[in-house]
Order: sequence, then C-alpha cells, then structure tokens
Amino acid sequence: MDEQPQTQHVEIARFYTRSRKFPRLIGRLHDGTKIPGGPYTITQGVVFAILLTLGLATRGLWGTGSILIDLPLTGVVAWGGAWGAGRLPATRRNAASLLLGALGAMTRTGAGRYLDRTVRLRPPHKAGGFTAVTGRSGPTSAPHSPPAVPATPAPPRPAAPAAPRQMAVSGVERLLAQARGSKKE
Amino acid sequence: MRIPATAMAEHLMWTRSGVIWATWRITPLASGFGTARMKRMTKLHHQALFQALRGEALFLGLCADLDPVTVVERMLDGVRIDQCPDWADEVERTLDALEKVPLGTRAFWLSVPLAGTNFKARAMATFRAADTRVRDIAALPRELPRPAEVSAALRAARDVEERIPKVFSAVPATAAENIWIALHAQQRGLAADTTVPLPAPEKDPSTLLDADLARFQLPAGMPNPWLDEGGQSDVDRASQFLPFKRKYLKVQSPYSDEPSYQVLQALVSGPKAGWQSPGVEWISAVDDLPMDVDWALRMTVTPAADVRRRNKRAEDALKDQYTQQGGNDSITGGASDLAEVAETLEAYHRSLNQSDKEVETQVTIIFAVGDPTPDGAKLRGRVLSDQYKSFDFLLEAPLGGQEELWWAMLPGVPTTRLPRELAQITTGRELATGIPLTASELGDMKGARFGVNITTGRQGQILRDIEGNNKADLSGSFGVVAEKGAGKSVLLKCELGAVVDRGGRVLAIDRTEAEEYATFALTLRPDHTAVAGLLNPQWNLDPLRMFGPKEGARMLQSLFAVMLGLPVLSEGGVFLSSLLEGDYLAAHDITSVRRLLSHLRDDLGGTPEAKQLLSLMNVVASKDIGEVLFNDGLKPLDVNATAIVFLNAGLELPDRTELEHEHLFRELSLEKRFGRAMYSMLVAVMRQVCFHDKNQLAGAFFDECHAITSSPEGARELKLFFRDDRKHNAFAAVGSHDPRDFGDEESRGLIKTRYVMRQTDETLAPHALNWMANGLGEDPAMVRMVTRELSPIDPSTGTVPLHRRGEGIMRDAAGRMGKFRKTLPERPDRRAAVLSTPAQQVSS
Repeated sequence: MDEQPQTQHVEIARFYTRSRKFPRLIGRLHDGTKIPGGPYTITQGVVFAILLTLGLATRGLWGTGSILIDLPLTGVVAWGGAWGAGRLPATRRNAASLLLGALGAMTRTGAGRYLDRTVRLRPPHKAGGFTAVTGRSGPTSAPHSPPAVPATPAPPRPAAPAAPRQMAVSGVERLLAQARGSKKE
Repeated sequence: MRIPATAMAEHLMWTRSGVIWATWRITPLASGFGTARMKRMTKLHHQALFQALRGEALFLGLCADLDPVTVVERMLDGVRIDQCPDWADEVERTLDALEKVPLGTRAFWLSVPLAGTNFKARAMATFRAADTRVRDIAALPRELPRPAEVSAALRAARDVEERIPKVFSAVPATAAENIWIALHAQQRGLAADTTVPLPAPEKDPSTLLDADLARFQLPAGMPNPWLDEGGQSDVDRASQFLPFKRKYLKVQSPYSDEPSYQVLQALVSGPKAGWQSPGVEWISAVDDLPMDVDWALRMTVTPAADVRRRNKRAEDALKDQYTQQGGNDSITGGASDLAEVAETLEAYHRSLNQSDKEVETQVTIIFAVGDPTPDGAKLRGRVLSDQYKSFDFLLEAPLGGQEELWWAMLPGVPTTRLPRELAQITTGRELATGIPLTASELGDMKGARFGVNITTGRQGQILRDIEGNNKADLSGSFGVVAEKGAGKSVLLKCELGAVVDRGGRVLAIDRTEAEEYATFALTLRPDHTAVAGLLNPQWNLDPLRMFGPKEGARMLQSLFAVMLGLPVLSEGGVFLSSLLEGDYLAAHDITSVRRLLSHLRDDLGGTPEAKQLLSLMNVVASKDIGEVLFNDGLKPLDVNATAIVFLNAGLELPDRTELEHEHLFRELSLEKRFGRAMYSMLVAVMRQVCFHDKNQLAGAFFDECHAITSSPEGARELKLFFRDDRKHNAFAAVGSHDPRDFGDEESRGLIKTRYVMRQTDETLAPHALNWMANGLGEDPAMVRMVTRELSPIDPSTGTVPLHRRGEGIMRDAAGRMGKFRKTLPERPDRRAAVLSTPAQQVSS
C-alpha cells in the first residue's frame, strides 16, 4: 500500500455494494398518501407490528378493560418502539441478522459443538447389564456386581442338561475353561 | 455443520450437501515489486482468472507455519555432508537460529463446486449425500461413488480447469492437501503445521492403471474439530450471557493438545471513492503485516448480461425510493443517501460496460488470525483491522457469526446466509486490483542460506543454489552493485565461504591493501588455500609452469601481446608464436618463461628477431614487477588449491583516456602495461581453472570489477566467462558500484542473478536499477528506495543500525524481484572473518 508515482497508468477500483444493498424505506401508502412521521425503515415497520400484536395479545395482563383506551395506548407504545428502532445506528448489516447473531452468541452452551452436536458430558454412571453364564462348575460372580455387595456364594445353578456349549463368557472365563478342558484331556 | 467431505477421489470431494467440489493448487505470481508494466501484467492475469470463472468459487491463501527442519533439509540437499564438515556445522547452527524466527510460506488453492454436470449426475450426487446420511445413522458401511459418477465429475472439473489461465499453473490438489487445509484451519496460530503437501506429480497416461483412475480416500484422516464460539467453555455460566467482548472462535483439533483461538473478520466496506491500482493491493497487503493472516475469497461470479437485469431492478427500486422518500431534501437526509446510491449504480453500470468479458463478483473476503490465547487472537485481529482501517477498508468480526465464517473458509461447505450478507459487489477487473494470488518468494528451493526475504512483513528465508542454477541451464553467475560500505564485499565473502564449505572451489582477485579476501580465504581451508601476490610473490604465475606447454603457450602469447605490444600477427608476434609451438618447446626443454629468456639469449643470440624479443622481455624481466613471471626459484602456483586469491594491491592500471588516445597510450608506463596485461591474464587463468572440472562447482570472484573491464582484453575474457559458465559448472561473481563496470550490455545481460544494495548517489542509482530490470530506474519510488531506504545510516551515530545492515534488492535466476537482508554465517569464527573490515585489519 505504497504511494505510487503519478506517471504510471493508474486505474481506480471500488466496491459497488451500495448500488444493490441500500435501505428501503416506506414513506407512502399505495394510493400515494404520505405516512405521517415517515418515511420508515422496514425494521421500524416490523417493530411496530410486533409491539402492536404483542400489546393487543397481552391485553389481559395490563388492559384497562376498555378497548378505547387500550388501543391508542398500544399504538403509542408501538409507535414509540418503532421510533426507537429508527434511532438505531444504520449499519451495513441487516438489523435482524445482527440481533440473531448476538442472541446466538449469548445462548451458546459452554460445552461447544462436536460433529454438529452440542457436547453433553453424561454424569458418571454405572455401566450395567446382565450376563447369563451357564457352567458346569461352581458359582461365578457376574462382572457387573458392585464390589459393595458381600461375596456370598450364589446358590448353585442347575447345570443345563446336555448342553456342553457355554454362552456369553468373558475372556478370562474362556481361558479358564480352556485350561480345564486341557486338564481333562 | 460438520466436516463436509464424505469421499475424496483425485481432487474431487463428495460432500454432505450433495455437491461435488474440485480443488486445485494455484501457483502464485511473483509480486514484490517490478516495473509498472510487470505490475499491470500481474493485475491483468488476475482479472483474466476472475472473468473466466462462473458460479461459485473459493480462493484460499493459507500461511503454512514451517518447521525449521524443513529449511535446514533444503540446505543439506545435494551436499555430501561427510565430506563437508564445515557445512554440517553451519547447518546445525542455522537450525538453532531458525528456531527463534517464524518461518512460513503462503499456499494458494482454488476450490469450485461443480455445477457443470448434467441433471442425472447432480441427482446422483444428491442421492449419494442422502444415502451417506442414512448409512451414517444406521451405522452401515459407506458406499463410494461409482466410476461413471467419478468420470462425469472429472469431466466437469476439467472444464473448470481449462478456464484457469495457464500462468497460475493450477495443479489438481491431492486428498493430503485437503486434509492439510482442514487441519490448518483447526490449528491456526499454534505453529503446528507440517509442510504443505506437494501437488501430485503429473501422471504419465501410458502408465495409468485402472486402479489409479478412481482411488478413493475416505475422509477418515479428516480431523473433526470441537468448536466453541466465544470461548464459552472458558467462562462461568453468568458471563456466558455477555459474549460482546469475546468475538472469537475456540477450536480444538483432535491432533493438538491446546486449543486455537481465532478471530475471523470480513471486509464490509472499502473507500467510497475507490482506490488506486497499482498502489493499493488490498488483499496481498496482509503480507505486509508481521504476522500470519489467512484469507479466503468466497465468491459468486455472474456474467455482466445477467447483472444488467439485476441492476435494472435496483434502479426501479431506487426510483421507487425517490417516491417513498420524496420531499425529504435535507442535505443529511434520505435524498442525499439516494443520490449516493444512484451515483454508485451509475458507476457500476459504466464499469460493467467497459468490457464484454466483464463479470460481477459478489465476494466475501474473510481474514482469519489465530493464537494459542484469546487475548493474543483478539490483539492480532485488532492489528489487522486497524491496518485496514487506516486505508479506509473496514473489517468486521460478526458477533455470533465466527463459526459460520470459519466454515466458510473450508472447501466443500455450502455458502450460508452470513457470508452472503457480508458479500461485496464489484467487477472482476476491480477485484483483481487486490492481486491476492501473489507471493514474494525469492531464490531457489534448496541451497545455501543467503538471507531473509524482507519484501513483505512475512519474512521468508532465501536459499541460493548456484550449482542447481548451472544444472538447470540458467547461469549461476551473479553481480552486486552497491556503494562503498553498503555490504558488497560482505555478501561476496559470505558466498565465497559457502561455496568452499559446500565442497566447491573459489578463485578471487583481491585489490585491497588490507588483503581482505586473502585473509578471509585463509580462514576457510588454510591448508588448501594459495595466496599469490603479484608484487611480492610467493608463487610463480608463469603460465607455462602452471598449465604446461599446450595451454600455457597460448596464454603466454596473449600476455606478451598486451604487455610487450606484440600483436599476434606482427613480425615479432609470429616469431614468438613459432617459439611457443609444442614440439619446439619440448625439443629445447623450455618449461618456463625464464628458460625461454635464456634460450633467446644463449641459443638464438644471433638473429635480429631474437634480439628484439629478448630486449623487450628484458624490460619486464629485469624489474621487480617481473619476478612473478620470471623467477624460477618460486614454486608454480598450485592450480588445484581449493581457494586461490591473487593479490593485486599496488598494481597500476591505465585509465580509459590512456587507452583511447594513441599518444597517451604510447607513453604508458611500464607498470601500467604490466598491470593491464597481468589482469587480463589472471582472468584467463581463472577461467581456465574454473572451467577445468565439470564435477566440482568453481567460482571466480571479481570485486571492484572496473579494474578488469577497463581494458578491452579483460572485458573480453570476462564475457567469455559469462557466456560459458554453466556448461562448465562455474560461475563468476562480480561487484562494483556501477553495473557498467561489468562489461558491455551483453555481458551485463548474461548475469542472471543481480543484487543492488544501498547506493546513495542519485545518478548511479538509476543505472543500477535499470540493470536489475529495464525501466526500473525511471520509477522514482524505486530510486528513493535504493538511495534512502536500504540500510539507512542513522545520523545520530553515523552508522547503520545492526538490524538494518546488508539490505538490498535482488532479482533471482527465475527473474523474480524482491527485497532481501543478507544474513551472516552462523559459525562465530566465520562470522568474525566475514565482518572484519579493512580498517580493522590495518589497525590490528
């Protein structure tokens, strides 16, 4: 970004963003009559509409009971809000988008996002599950049994008749079984 | 949003959104500086690129923060390290020195969503995306695109590739590069980058196997980041509702221990009245900052014809606004705003109509900086935005939009609402003024460390590979132009040392009283160094003794022709030639000039020719200056020494007027005749030695080159050197304060690598610049740089501050230009030897 001598061929470049993105204001109704106090920005219109709807919808909470008083009151509040919205500094960005961005930033969780999901760390919990073990020999304690439980020998299960195939045993048990089998041989 | 890639083949990426993206590595154009014409060409190439594209495109300029080991490996490449212990030591110390400085290069990519496929292919890609999603949910194995889909996508990608101007030499990016881009984005600012993967070498179609055609890479290597906008995880729950001062993104990559904090800013407005080009290179200007800034240009390119319709609608809306806002004619009111919009629209319409090729570019310009700490990242972001603000370009880091912008910098991610909202509208011609795809790299890919590239704020290392230049059929010869004390001889001595350390040979002519080069050469390889004084000789420089009768005789004839005024075809010259014939010399056992003298006196005493030649030779032989040729008691110079320095201090030379005017020439003193003849013989000797062995690099160093080129014979010998250097793996290094001392225009043009250091004289500086590149001397900014901005002298101390010493501009063998600062050798003894100035040596 140095200053350049004037002797060489110099061209001027610029952005033309404003030629398309300029604030659209509403100053007249369809029949051409001027809207009092206008022109208004679209943001102002939206704020006015929202406040008006909100005001009327929540009349039950604050209303005086007389529509003749409530309606102008709501109108004044809505108009005030719209006037305020008009005072907002005009930036290059859409006011709604700015508001959404700020709201989004405020409400993000402290856990971040991973694989498009909010990371939720589950509290410490017990990894449960039952394992049915059949065996010819004595009692085995299931691996999930909490250590607090006193190691009382479980009543001997009836051995499955003619079922040499063992089901769902842990690796250690399989090793033990193998050892036993080899001893038999 | 998630990492978009679902499958990668060649340079294609199938994405979750169903669009196939193709990515190319772009070779940047040389920037730095140059003549106005060169700058204009750079801009026009960019313009051609932008105007050739259609639809969406994403340009990336990412700074790879290099590991010093990479640089050091390049210094070792091609050197037999077991034979060069000095170089091994130097490289080891360089590694330590480089640990302390940031090293980096910028790599460029263009990524394009392929829209050019047919309806069937697009439907298939969408189906593929949906299928992938279902399979992911159901934990089923993924199905890869079929060969027909791949070839359809490759065809579409080829259509895009053909539109990229050849000057950018777009190379299809590999899956490794895509993964590098993703990982770099997650580790920005952590200095954890690996070297950017090299683009795939071009495949030879004859060796293509079917298996090569569609080798898929599942994006398993693609790291999935953990993202936390505003660093919410760093603050307590109450503060999480106040994100206004935390406009950054915290990214944790699975491959690093610490998170990276990044600030992403988009360009939201430029100077209303526009900017000058060349002059305001508003995108490549990020390289002027002393920190790494990544950028992305996410753009939509639309042909002018379609844009005219859009502008028509804008005009209608504008007219309506005049009605809506009518009556409000205050200066600061809406009507004046509308006038501004009207003016912009009019200017835009005019600009679009300048060329039929013109396009509209809606471009979101995103800059990203990263740091290991949030405060560091914010500071970097502020420095960047302040720098741009000072030129009336405004950057904005949207609150709540940091993550969206971060994704927008990745290939394969569809353009979302926020980047669209932040897009700037301009023409392809005007976007090109940012000249984003440029780099200021200088020097060679490997070789000796020459200096630091200070063209921009991002300081890269410059390596010089003279032997590599020779082998690549470029010339390894170089020239340095600088005023006294600007660092010319330090540069020459550093290069001389590097050549010897890397296993080469050097010869030099030393004209200094302090024997600067001889002292330096003796510190290199003392046992392999010969220092030959011409006035107080320790070695005999008789060509017959140094090179034997065949080559020596020819040199001797040329020497006597100049020294004794015996033209080869004159009577005396023909007689001398008959004596110097091989058989004659052998038959009479003439092995030296002294013996020739005795032969003339004792055996041929009677003939008048012999008498005349004898008396002429005696004029020199009887004086002290003749000792170096006629004293057979001295050993002949060992032409196989690794370093040979000829000491010429005190040797008188005729000036130009004496050579050009006959009456002055006739009255030339013996010393001047001797000096002139010896100089041209020395150049011939050096050429002979350097051209002797093709397998070993040999360099001839001529500082104060005017001493050689002031005589036509010397200039001719030097030109012969420049002409044939590369064929013999030799190079000449010349130095002077004026490039015209390097010989005629042809000789000067033959020097490919050129350095210009400080030259405060305003008449000499343009000469130096015009030698560097034609027309550069007419640029006042360049003249100002050479006269005032390179290694400026601090008036309060009268010296150049240490950190500014050795600055200059260079043009490398490839023709690129930029600014450098010469670095000194890292070995302390070598550094001391290089820096010892003549004044110090005289006093010591």
